[in-house]
Formats: sequence, structure tokens, C-alpha cells
Amino acid sequence: MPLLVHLINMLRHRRQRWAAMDFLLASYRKQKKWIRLRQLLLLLSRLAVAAVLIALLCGWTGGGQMLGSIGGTTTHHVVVLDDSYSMGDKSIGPNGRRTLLANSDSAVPDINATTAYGRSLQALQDLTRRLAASEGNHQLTVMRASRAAMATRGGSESGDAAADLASQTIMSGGRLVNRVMATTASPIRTDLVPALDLATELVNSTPADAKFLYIASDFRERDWGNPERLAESLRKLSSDVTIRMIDCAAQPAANLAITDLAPAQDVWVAGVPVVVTATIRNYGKSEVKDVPLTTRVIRYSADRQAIDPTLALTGEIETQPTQVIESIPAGGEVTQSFQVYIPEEGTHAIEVSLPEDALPIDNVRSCTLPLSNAEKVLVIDGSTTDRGGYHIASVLNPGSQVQIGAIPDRQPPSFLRSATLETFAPYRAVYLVDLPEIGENAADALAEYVKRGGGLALFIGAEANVANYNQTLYNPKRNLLPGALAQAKALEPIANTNTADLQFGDPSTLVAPLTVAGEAAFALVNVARSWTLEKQGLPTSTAGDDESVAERPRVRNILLRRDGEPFVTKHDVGRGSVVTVLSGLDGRWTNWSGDPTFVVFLLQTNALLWSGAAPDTQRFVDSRLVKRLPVEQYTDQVTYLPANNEPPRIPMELATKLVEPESSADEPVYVIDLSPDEMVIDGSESVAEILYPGISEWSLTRTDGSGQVLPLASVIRVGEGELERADPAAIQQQLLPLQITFMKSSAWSDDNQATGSSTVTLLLLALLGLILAAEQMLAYWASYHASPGTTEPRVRATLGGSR
Amino acid sequence: MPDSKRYLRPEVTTRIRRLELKARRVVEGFLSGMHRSPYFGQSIEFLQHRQYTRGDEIRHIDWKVYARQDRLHIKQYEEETNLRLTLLVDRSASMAYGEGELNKFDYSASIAACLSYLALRQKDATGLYTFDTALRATVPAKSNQQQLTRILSMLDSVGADGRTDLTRVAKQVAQGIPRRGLVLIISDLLGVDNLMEGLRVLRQRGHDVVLFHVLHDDEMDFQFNGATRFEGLETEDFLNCNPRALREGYLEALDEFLNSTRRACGRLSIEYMQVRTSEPLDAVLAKFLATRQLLPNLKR
Repeated sequence: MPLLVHLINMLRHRRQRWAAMDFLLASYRKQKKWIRLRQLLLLLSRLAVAAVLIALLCGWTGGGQMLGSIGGTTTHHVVVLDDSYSMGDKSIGPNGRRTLLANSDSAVPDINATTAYGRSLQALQDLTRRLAASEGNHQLTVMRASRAAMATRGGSESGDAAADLASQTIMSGGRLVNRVMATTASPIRTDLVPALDLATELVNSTPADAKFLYIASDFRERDWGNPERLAESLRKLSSDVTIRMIDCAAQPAANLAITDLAPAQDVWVAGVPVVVTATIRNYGKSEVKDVPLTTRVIRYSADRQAIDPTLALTGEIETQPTQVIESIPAGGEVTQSFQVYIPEEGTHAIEVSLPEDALPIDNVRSCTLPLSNAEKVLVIDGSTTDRGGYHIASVLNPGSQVQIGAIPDRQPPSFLRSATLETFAPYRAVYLVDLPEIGENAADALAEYVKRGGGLALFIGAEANVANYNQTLYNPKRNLLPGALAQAKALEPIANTNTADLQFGDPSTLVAPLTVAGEAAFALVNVARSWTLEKQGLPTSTAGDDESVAERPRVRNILLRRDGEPFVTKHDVGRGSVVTVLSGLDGRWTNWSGDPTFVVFLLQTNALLWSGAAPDTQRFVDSRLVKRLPVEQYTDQVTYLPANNEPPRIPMELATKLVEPESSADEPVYVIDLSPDEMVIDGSESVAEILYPGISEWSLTRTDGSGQVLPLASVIRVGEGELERADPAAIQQQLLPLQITFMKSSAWSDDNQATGSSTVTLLLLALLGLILAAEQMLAYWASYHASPGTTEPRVRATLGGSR
Repeated sequence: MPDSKRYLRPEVTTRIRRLELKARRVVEGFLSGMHRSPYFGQSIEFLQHRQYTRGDEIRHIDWKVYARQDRLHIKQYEEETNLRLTLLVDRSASMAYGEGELNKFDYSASIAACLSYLALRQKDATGLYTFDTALRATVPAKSNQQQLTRILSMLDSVGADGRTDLTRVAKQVAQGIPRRGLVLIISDLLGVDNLMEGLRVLRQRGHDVVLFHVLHDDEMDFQFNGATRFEGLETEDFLNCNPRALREGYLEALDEFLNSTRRACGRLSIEYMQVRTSEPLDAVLAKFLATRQLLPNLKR
């Protein structure tokens, strides 16, 4: 452009008729070379002016690099971005809130202010710009904590795989961090230890004249209150690394979180109401009242055969009446239960949500509800009276219009003689009552059945062959008994009749409804005798719901006799559960089968046994995404539609893998198995979509050509909702002898913007001034500027004019 | 009728009326007048005695000297003759430079008109030639009452055009003027080759030559700014340039030309007057006439 302007200027001549051309031409011939040189210098100065102006307007980003490449120092900057989901905190602190209130016309402050993660990204961008404008060669490594955590879980020890940018030379700040700037806080719960470990590995392995580690985080009390593990990671850094902490979070506002949502353990049959429980926790420092809880039921009926990416959800959304939680104390939690009634078979979804607060991601939680048609349960009674079988069948199928979803199938003991796994497969639960003996084949089949999610209830009556039971069921390969049966032991009567024969044991859902009434609930139950277990039986749990799968499963004593001997136990084998009642139901040892509490117990037991084969109702966002599809029923065409509240959703075509059965009892299946951890290591771009919390959808194609849409609920791990801040001074104290500089993100940005532009801009301005002055001098020299009063020839009176 | 006021302004002629135009040298003339003549005759003013030779008129013998010395001498008187003024005005294209009153040709024509008026007023024969590469318009020298009108008509009808060949013109003029007289050349001398050769011819014929070198201020000072395309008035030459860059060289070349011209005129005893068109005309004429009065009367 300056070249064009210059040439146009040269062509724009004023025409002048002239007499003394000889002198002019003589002068021109004499000074021709100088004139051309002046013109060239003028052109160059104008080009330089244009170049400097462009550099000023666009922001000087290459100068430092150019200077650095000539012989400057190399500096390695490693930025660790905490993108755990608490960084989505929208708290703006007391000052920010006041400002917003003062500036806003509405009474409600703008809650959509930038998040802590947004401030960390801004800090990164400011840093990059400053580095681009400063002298020397700068290398930038950016690592997000969530990627580092997943890569570490996936077995990667290399920081390169987890880093968004690994030792990239800063040429143009905007472009380099563009991809990182487009990210948002992840739904992952993690601390910074994996990221710091990988960053340390990168820093120590990259040669540089100077090294800086920037940690942009929200510095919550739960992570930094006792930063021993973090300090251990930081101490691995070489001593020449300068550590700077960028505090991106504001003083936290109140935060409510839905920490759990699940359908209660039950038979989950279409047409039978299912109780769903939601747990809401108040992480704030003050009690909250009248919290509305919104529930949506998303029904996926059989006619929904294809996904609709243009909608947020393909299923039919049915909003339930809003429930109001009266009060949640500070730091406390409340469990809210509600019933969901869906008359259609299939997997449906439930979503509950709270009003938006400082941390939006934990205000919504979802689960799926797999509803089947009524299914059969097997009841085999070995007693001659068949009384126990009758009681069980009566409870599970009382008749009339009452349905619990189970269809009892009463069979004689001979049913077990040739039983195999296929024999039990049609049943959701098996009740064996007062059987004298159980054969090896039946025991094998039962063990396999339970391991695969089946439920087994054993009522061991007076006729039971102890040796046979211990041999077949207590076999270490089967573990169907909670312990080796010892002997039948009578319960001595006592004078104090206020004490019931049965007592509550370990807390369990099996008798949970009865705990409200206390031990008085069993006041009418008499126990005369029951089997005892040998002391060196399976290890008994003391408390807690978690039961680790050890060599021998843990046993929970649900009900105890008055003398402390176990009466009802429960233990898990594989995916299934076994409930053992150490007494028969024929009335010889106890009258419990005729007591109302037995009905409650049996219904709860049936729900427990039934749920063993029930599919998961939710997955954690960072867990594997697995789907198994029987080849007989489905084709290998599988589409996954990630959760996204802002349609259109982008479907992902997933590759399936055909897995042949290991045994004849199994059938071949197509398996989809996506691991976010491995996707991070492989550098897959779609890992972020897999991590979206909420209701995603599978689109499956059956072998008959029809489609099926299945919802999948992905939830975040609980814990990051606690937003309490750690004290920077305390962190510095605990990280000693490491020298750490703490900065607020706002101060960091101001500092970077000031220092990043001042030096270069001033230099450029000075250079521009010099070039402009030179250009003016050259232009004057080359006669592009008129002197005042000399532009036009003088006009004077000639004839008769006065001088 | 010619517009006499165009070149002969009353206010100018009034101021110079009292000045008498006198030839610096003795000129030939038929009429007795105020100018000293190289021809001796009857007159009031005695010049010298000369020994009588055969053929001299007897009436010129000074008998008183014969009585005292017994030798025949005759008395010689200086005869006063009329001036023969010939004006040569350059009408080449380069004279068209300048706007309005600063136009070089108009300025030159004004000089010619004023001098014609003065000469005719004292009964001197005055003629006019305009020229470019050759003589174009001619008004033969006369001293009658209508001569001024003819001269002014001629000046009024002439426009500036063509190139300049002063040498050729000077030769033509030298051949065309039968007697010695005052030849006054008014020109910008631009585009003139072998200027001195032409002037030398005039001088060799015994003419008193005055050169009015008329230049415009622009040509003298060259105060131009900004990118300019200079196009030759007499030639097809042009030059795109920034004048400021060329000014110094231009002025050097001009000075050299002026100095050489001035020196050459000195060598040929030609009176040289450099005139700017911005100078008031009366002042220029007054200066010219005053200068000529102060100059010594030189005999050939």
C-alpha cells in the first residue's frame, strides 16, 4: 500500500509550462542520481511507517521471538490448569456481587459471570501474550488436571500424552492457545497430583535456561488443606524452577448439590411404582430453606426407535410436580424419595435438578430406570407340608389387583436333579425352602446363576443334611452359604418377655422398613431353634455398605437371635446375592412365616435378589463406557449420542467388537468398550463428549431391522461441591521450603497486560516517531511539502504599482 | 484603433516625459536634433579648426585665422542629428510565460511602447521589429505623427509563438538598417543559440546596441514546490520532477548563463539591462535613461 501511494504520488504532477527548460534539464542531469536516491529513501521510510503502524495496531508478537532466535535465552513455562469441576464455580465474591448489583437494573445479580476456569484461561492467555511480546525464546506447556489424571489412570507416565501443549515455542500467542481457550471446566473430580507429577517430568526433562511452573487453581480446602501429597510432587521439581500459584476462584457462594439419585432396590417392573431417592447436600455455611427439586421422567417407549439429534432428548419428557425440601442444614444432606410410575417396559430415565447456584454442574443428576415385564421366580419347597412354599408364593403374588412384578413358579425338589444354568436362567430369583439335600450339579448351576446376578434365598429347615449342605453349598468355589453349618441350637426361653427373639443386626435394606418400629416389630415372632454357623466361617462385616470381593465374601447378619446367633444373613457372590435364613418355614422351629414382618422381609429380599441381575442405573463420567449386545438380538450398528443440553447433538458411530462366548452357556456378543483414560492417551478428540454428564442415548439396531433407543445416565463423582477455600498463607507455610508466589488471577492479568505491552509498545512508538520525522525530512527534501507563502509565484504590481 | 493604453500607460509616460532620450554615442541623422552627429556641418557649436584642403568649401574658411597666421583654416561645427531608434521585440513562445501583468511579452511590449513614445516625442525616427526565428512584423523607422500609432497597433496584434533565432534576425536587421542608430533588443534570450554572433554583427555595423533581458520571477528564483511536470514552451521537452530538488542546480545554470551574457555584452560594448517582470516599468525606464545620460559620450 505505501508503495502504491508512493507511485501514485509520483504520477500526480502539477503541469507547468516552462521556458527555461535548458537550465532545468541541465540541473536534472547533474543531480539525477541523488534525486533517485532520495525517492528511494522516501519510499523506504513510508514502508517502514506502515510496517510499524501495523505492528502497533495488531500487537507486536514476533519481536521477542525474533530477538530470541538471534541469541536470547530459552525459557520453559509450564502451566497446570486445574479443570476439575469445582473450577466451574461462578462465585464472584462479595465485591463482585456488590458491583454487579450496583450496575444491574434487575435485583438479581448476573450469576453467569465468568467461572474460575474462565479466569484461569484468561490468565493463560495473558501469559502467552506477554511471552510472545517479550524477548527470548519461550516454550509453553499447558496441562489440564483432568487429562493428566485420566492419562495417569490409563497407565501413561509421559506428560506429552496428557499435555494440551508440550514445549511449544510461542510464536503467536492467540493461535497457540486457541484450542485450550475453547475448553471448559471438565466434569472430572481430581486433585492436581497427577498433573504435577507429569508436569514435573516434563519440566525436568526439557532443557531450558529458566523454568517456570504456573498452577492455576481454585485452591479448595479439601485439596490444599493438607497438601502433603502435592508438596511431595512439587519437591521433585529441580531447584531452578520458579513456582507461581494463580488463584482463580472468588470467595465461594452457597452451593447445593445432588449427591445421589437412584431407584430404590426393587423389582423394577413396568406398571409397578418405583421409589426413587435423591440426596441433596448443602455445602454452604448456612441453612437453606424451601429448596425446590424438579423431577423429569424421560420415557423411552418401544415406538421410539430412532434417535433425534435435533432434540436434547429423544424420549418423551414428563415433568413431575416440583417437590420442596423444607430445610437443609449447613453441611448437612437430605434424602428425598418419590415414586415414579411408568407402565411401559424398557429403560427410562429420571433427572432431578436444583435451582442454579455457584456450581451448576452438581445441580443436575440423572439415573436410568430399567423396567421389565413381570418375571418368574422359582420356589422349591422340600417339606412335606409345602407350607413355606405356599407362604412365599402368597407373599410374592397375593392375587387380586396387587402386583409386585414376580410370578412364583413352584416346583418340586426333583426339579433340581437335572438343573443346569439354563434351568435357572428364566428366573430372577430362586427360593429353596426346607430342602434336605442339594446335589452337586444343582449347586454348580446355582453358584453360576448367582455369580451372574441371580438371587438365591435359602431357608434351611430341620430336615437339612448339614454335611450335604456344607459340602455342596459351602464349597469355596461356590460360597453359597455364609458359613459352614454347625448344629441346630435351641433358643432358651427367658422370663423377660419384653425382649423379642429376633434382633436387628447389621443395617440393611432387607429389614429397613421394620427398623422404624424397633425390636417391638418382632414381638410376636417366636424362635425355638435354628442352625448355627461355625465361627471360622466367612468373615462378617461390621458396618458399611461396601463389600469387597475377597476370596470369601463378607457376610452381613441381618437378623440375630436374642442370644446373638445369626438368624438371617446376606452375602454377595459375584453379581448376585444370597440370603440365608437359618430356619425352615414349616413352623417347627419358628412361627415367623405367619408374622407380618415376614411379608416385609420377603418383599425386601425379593427386591434384593431381583436387583442382582438389574443393569446399572448410572455410570460415572470418567468410567468406561461399555455396552454388550447379544448377536442374536442386535446388529453391530451402534450410535452413541452424547449428553448435551444444547441440541443439535452430534451422533458418534462406534465400532463394535465381536466377542465369542467362553462357555456354551453364553452367547456371542458385540461389545463397545470406550475408556476415557485410553482415549486421552490416544489423543482422541471425542473424549470430551464422552465425559459430558447427563442423559446420553444409545441407538441400536435389532436383527429384525427395528431400532431401539436406550438412555444412559452419566453422573459426576461427588466431592468437588465443597467450595471452601484454603488459606494461601497456610499453603505457603506447608509447602516450605518451596518458595511459592501467590497471585490473584485479576492481579495476574493486570500485571501481564501492563508488562506485556509496555516495553515493546514504547519502543515501537519511539521508532514510529523517528521514522515519521525522517519521512517528513525526506519528503521536504524531495519537495513534497510546500513552504508557507511560496507555493504560488508572487504576484506584484508591475506597471505603475507602488513598491 | 490600437489600444494605446495597453502598453503605453499615461502614468508611466508622465513620469519619464521630462527625461530626454539621448544616444550614448553619436548617431547619424538627417534631421538636426539633440543628438550629436558624426557629420560636420553648419551649426552653432564650434568644434575645431582644420587646415584647408582642396575641395573644402570656401565659406567655411576662418578668415581671422588667415589674417593672423597667413594660413587657410576652415572652422568645423558639430552638427546635431535625429536618433534612429530600432526596437527588436522577441515574440517567441518563451515570452508568453507569466500571467497578467507579469507576462514577459506584455512587459517587453510595454518597454518598447514607452521608448517609442519618448523617441518620437523628440522627433527621432523609430522603427519596430518583432521576431522569433525570423523577422515577423516590421514598422520602418519614421518620425512622423502616425508612427506611434503604427507601432502600438503592431504590438497589439502580435502574439507570442515559435522558437527564437536571434542571430539570424540580427543579421537581417543589420542589413535592413541603412544608417547607424540605436538598436534596442528586448528578449528573454531563452532558446537563443550563438547570441553573441548576432549582436556582434549589429555592433560591427556601428549600431549602438542595448539589450533588455526580460525574465520572470519564477525563472529567476525557481520557487516551485510539489511534484511538477515542466513542459517546454519552445520545445517538446518535458521533465517530471520535484523542483526543490533541482532548484540549486537550476539557479547555478541560470547564473552561469547570465554572467556569460553580461560578460559578452561588456566585451562588445553593449549595454545590458536585466529586468524582472515584477519590477515597476517606470523605474526600469528611468534607470535606463539615467544611466545613459551619465555614460560618457564616446566617439567612434
